[in-house]
Amino acid sequence: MSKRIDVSDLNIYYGDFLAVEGVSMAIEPRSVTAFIGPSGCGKSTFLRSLNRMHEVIPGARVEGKVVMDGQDLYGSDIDPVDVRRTVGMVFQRPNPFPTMSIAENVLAGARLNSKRMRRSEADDLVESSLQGANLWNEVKDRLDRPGAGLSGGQQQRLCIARAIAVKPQVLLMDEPCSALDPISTLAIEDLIQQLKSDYTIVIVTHNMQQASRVSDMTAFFNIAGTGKPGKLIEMSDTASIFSNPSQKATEDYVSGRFG
Amino acid sequence: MSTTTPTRPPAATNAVRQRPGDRVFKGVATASGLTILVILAGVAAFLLYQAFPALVAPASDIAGGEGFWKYTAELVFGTALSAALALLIGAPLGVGIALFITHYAPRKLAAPLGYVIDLLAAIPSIVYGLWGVFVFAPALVPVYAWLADNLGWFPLFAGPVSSGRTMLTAGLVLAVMILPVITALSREVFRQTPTLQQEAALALGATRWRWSSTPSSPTASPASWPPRCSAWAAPSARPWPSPRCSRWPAGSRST
Repeated sequence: MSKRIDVSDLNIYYGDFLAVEGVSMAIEPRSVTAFIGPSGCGKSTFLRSLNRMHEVIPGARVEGKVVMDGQDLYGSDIDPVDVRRTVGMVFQRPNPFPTMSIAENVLAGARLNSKRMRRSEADDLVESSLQGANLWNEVKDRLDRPGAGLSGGQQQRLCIARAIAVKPQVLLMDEPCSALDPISTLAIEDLIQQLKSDYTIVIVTHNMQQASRVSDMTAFFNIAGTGKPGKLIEMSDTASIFSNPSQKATEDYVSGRFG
Repeated sequence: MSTTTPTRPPAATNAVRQRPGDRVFKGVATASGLTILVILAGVAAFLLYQAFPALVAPASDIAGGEGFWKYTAELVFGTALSAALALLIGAPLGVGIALFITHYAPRKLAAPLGYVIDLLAAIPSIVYGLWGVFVFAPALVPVYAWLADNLGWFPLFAGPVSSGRTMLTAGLVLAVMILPVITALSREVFRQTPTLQQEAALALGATRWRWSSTPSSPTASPASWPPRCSAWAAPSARPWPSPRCSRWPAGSRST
C-alpha cells in the first residue's frame, strides 16, 4: 500500500519563472518525510509536483523525473488523474465539501471516480476511512450531518479520511496543522504516526518541532533571495538534521538564527 | 436601547451610542428596500384596478365566450409552457457557456465571449419578439416541415407549420433571451467556487470535466437556483407577442 518515490533533477516553473531548481531526493515507503524551510522556498510547490497538482495552474510546468516504483509520473503515457488517485493530498486549510454530509465527504473520491457501490460497501468504506483517520468515534452518530459543522481539527481529520478513502499509496500533507489548535495538532500528529505503517507520507511544515516529532527524514529547502529559485539544501534523517546538520544554512534555520 | 425598568434611568447608560452616519445609512438602505416593495404593490394594485371590469364581465363579453378564467388559462398555459421550453433549452446551454468561460476558454477568448453574451441582454425584448415573428419563425418553416414529417408523433413537432409561429419557436426565442441571464449568473457561481474545494476534488482524482462541474456543483447547486428562478421569471414575464402561438395545443388548431 505504499510506494517509494525517486525524484531526479526536478525543475519547477511558473511560466518562465523557475520556482524550484534541481531537486533530487528519494522518499522512502512507510516513512514520514518532512519538508521544512522558509516561506516561498518552494517546498509546497515541490510537494504539489509529486501528484501533478502543480500543473493545474495555467503556465505551470515541470522538467525532470519523478519516478514512483519504476514509473515516471511525468511520462507521456501517464494520466495525471491516475497519479492523483494514487498520491492523495491533504491541504493547509481543512476543505470538506460544504454541502455534503460527513459520510458523503468520505465517499466523495469514490463517487468522483464514478464508482458504483452497494450501500453496505459504502457504509464499510465510510467506517474504515473514518476509523483510519481517528474520527469514527466522534462522528459515528451524525454521519448525515454537514461536514462543515465539525471543528477545524475534526474537519482536517475528515479530509484525511476522504483522502485515504480512495486508497492512495502516498499521502501528501501541505501544512496540515497550521490552521489548528495544539490539541487538534496533536491528534493529527498521532494519526500521522499510525498512517505511516500503511502509507508513504510527505509533510510540509513550518513547525520545526512538528517535523522533529513526526518525521523520519527531513529535507531543508532554502531560497537565495526574492526572485531566485528555491533549492533543496540538504536531506537526511531527522535526528541529524536537527542536531548535526552538514550545511551552515540548515543549522542557522533549525536553530532559529535564520535571516 | 429602551429600558424595562419603570424608573427610567438615563438612556445613555444602557444604550449603545448610535453614530449619526450609521443611522443615516440604515435609513437609506431600509428606504431603498421598502421602495421596491411599494412599487411592486403599486403595480399589482394598478393592474388589479384596471383589470377589474374584465374580472367581473359576463362570460359572453370575453373573447371566446367562455369567460375570463377559461380565456386566460390558455394564455397562462402557453406562457408557462414556452417558458419551460426556453428553460429546458437555455439552462443547459447557459450553464455550459458559463463553464466554458470560467474553466476551459483561454483567457483571451473568455473575456470577449462574456461581453458578447452580456450584449444579448441589452437587446430589448420587443426586438426579440419581432425578430422571432418576422425572421426566425419563417426561417424555421422548412425545419418544422421536416420535423412534422419525421417526428410528427411528438406533439411539439406536429403541424401545422405554415407560419413557423409555433410553441417551439417561442421557446427558442425565449431561450436566446434568457441565455445572458443564466450565463452571467452561473458564471459568477462557478467563478466563486472556492479554489480550496476545487483542489480537494482534483487531489481525489477528479477528471477535468468532473472537476469543473462536480466540485462546483456541490457548492453551486443551491446557489444556481436563483439564476434559474430569475431566468424562469424573465420569459414568463414576457408573454409571447402573438396570443395565437401561446395557445398550445390550441395554437396547433389552424385558426
